[in-house]
Amino acid sequence: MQYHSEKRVNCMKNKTIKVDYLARVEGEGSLIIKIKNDEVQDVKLKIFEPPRFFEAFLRGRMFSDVPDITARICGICPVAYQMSAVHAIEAAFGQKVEGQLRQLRRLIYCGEWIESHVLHLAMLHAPDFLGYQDVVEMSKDLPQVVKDALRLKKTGNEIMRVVGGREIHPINIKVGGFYKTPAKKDLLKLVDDIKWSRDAALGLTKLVKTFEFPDFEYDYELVSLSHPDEYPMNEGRIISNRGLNIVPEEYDFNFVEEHVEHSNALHSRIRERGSYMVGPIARYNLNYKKLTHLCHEAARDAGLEQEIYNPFKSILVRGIETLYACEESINIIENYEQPEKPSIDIKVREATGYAATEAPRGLIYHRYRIDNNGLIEDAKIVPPTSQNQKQIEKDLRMFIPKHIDLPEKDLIWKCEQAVRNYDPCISCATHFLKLEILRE
Amino acid sequence: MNDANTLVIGIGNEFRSDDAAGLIAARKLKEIRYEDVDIEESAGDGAGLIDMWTGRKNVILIDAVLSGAAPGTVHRLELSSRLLPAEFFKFSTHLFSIPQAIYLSASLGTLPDKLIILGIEGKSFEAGETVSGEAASAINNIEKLVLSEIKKSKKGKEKILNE
Repeated sequence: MQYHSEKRVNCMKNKTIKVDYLARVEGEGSLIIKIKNDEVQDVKLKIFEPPRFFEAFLRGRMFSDVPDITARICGICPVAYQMSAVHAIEAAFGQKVEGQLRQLRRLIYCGEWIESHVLHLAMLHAPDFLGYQDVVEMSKDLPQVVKDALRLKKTGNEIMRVVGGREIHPINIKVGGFYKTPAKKDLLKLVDDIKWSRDAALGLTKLVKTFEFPDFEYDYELVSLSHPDEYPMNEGRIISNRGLNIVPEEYDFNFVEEHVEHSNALHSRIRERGSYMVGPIARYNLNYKKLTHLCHEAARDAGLEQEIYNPFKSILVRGIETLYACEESINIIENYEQPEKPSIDIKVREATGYAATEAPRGLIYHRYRIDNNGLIEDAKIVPPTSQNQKQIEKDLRMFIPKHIDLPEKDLIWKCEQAVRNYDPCISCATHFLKLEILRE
Repeated sequence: MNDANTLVIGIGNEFRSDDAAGLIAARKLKEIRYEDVDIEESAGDGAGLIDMWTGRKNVILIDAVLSGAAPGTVHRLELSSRLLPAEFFKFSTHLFSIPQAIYLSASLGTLPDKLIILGIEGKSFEAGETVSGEAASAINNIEKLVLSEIKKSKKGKEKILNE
């Protein structure tokens, strides 16, 4: 492991460490750590992306506009926003998409998991473990790893393009299904690439298992979807390892969002409990049995138990989930039959709809109140990164004391690495709870 | 699409005000139907950009930027002549950003022979569908710049053929 060479600081009695611009996270974020008498006094993960007004922006829009607008909240996980939006709106109308349309939705989500996980694993997080400043530096020594990762990512994007009409901000998704469904022959053209990608994902996981993982564990409350028949993506109950077991309609009774001064993002907590973790580790721990045989083998080979509490091993779980998404894609395509109609007929009514799906980064919750003309009266969108905010700060509070003797630059790098465990998408995490203008 | 053609990529997000500038510019250019020119749109995903330009010799990127210059300023950067200032795209709303894509592509040996970046200085990147007057003005003027770049690449190609 190569660290920056710097004169070691023997004692870090009172110090404030500021990282003004977090590298290798999506969006803009910074970190402030206050140390007094060698003890961590405060940790603030500061999000200074311009506040996102998407929730307000959606008010007064037609329900059919919501998938296209919410897709723009994030360039890496547009499908997560679109899927959560369409499920919530369909729930409001008392309707459900099933059969091959449901499978196509699962397929496009697989595409997004692949491209998002690989981007993070190979290009944003792997450099930390290997001691490189960034993927550019890493590519000089490991060009084939990077080329393979780019090709793997492209497979995910191709799935999104064929099903969604475009690889970034898919345009083919609508409430009720799709504008057009692909012919089986068009999906079958993807299979060879997905098979290559499945093998490449396995290779990537084998590489990642050789990394050195900091010794750090915490007894997290883990939250994810759970489905009786499958590793969850689009549907399921919201569960935790501490007994939570609710439907999306009950989300607001169990989770609270709070505006914190140092961040434009809202912090989430479970009522009467506190911070929690969403994302690959939560999904893996809570749904391990729903992974495939190949995934179980790969996990065992990587030394992963059925439950993981070391957040640095999230990079391994992303490799396993990429493998899963490749296998699931092949399974869906091989069993696909083009449906007669690309969507179900939608019957608009005044109602409120709720949904939760599993974005690559974790649970994402949407709620929409719709009037009898189909116009959005109110929207609430809770992305995974804002749910993880509190836990990220907590992790740092516990992690830093063990590394407090490191030279400052190395300590900062370790902290950034710890933040990147969560693959935070800061672009998604920022929105205002409410905007109040007082004029005197 | 032909790899010998000049590739113009308009980059942006149409729901973030002036961040749409690159996309709007690309759509206007598409209406002109240049010979030997391919025009594409991108949300700015670096890995996707690398994929789009691999194998191409001449590429023009059009994107909104925030550098502190007067809104509506059009910056021209040619990769062969100076190092790309990473700070230029620091406020990019794009994922795995353009500078990283360029440096990574250079490291992997897939960078085009000639890469021009036309950066339109934005005024606002807030959520919204309207571009500022300054950005709109710059978009209207970008056609001449792009045409001039295309002519330069064609002269360069003819010179090579005649040697």
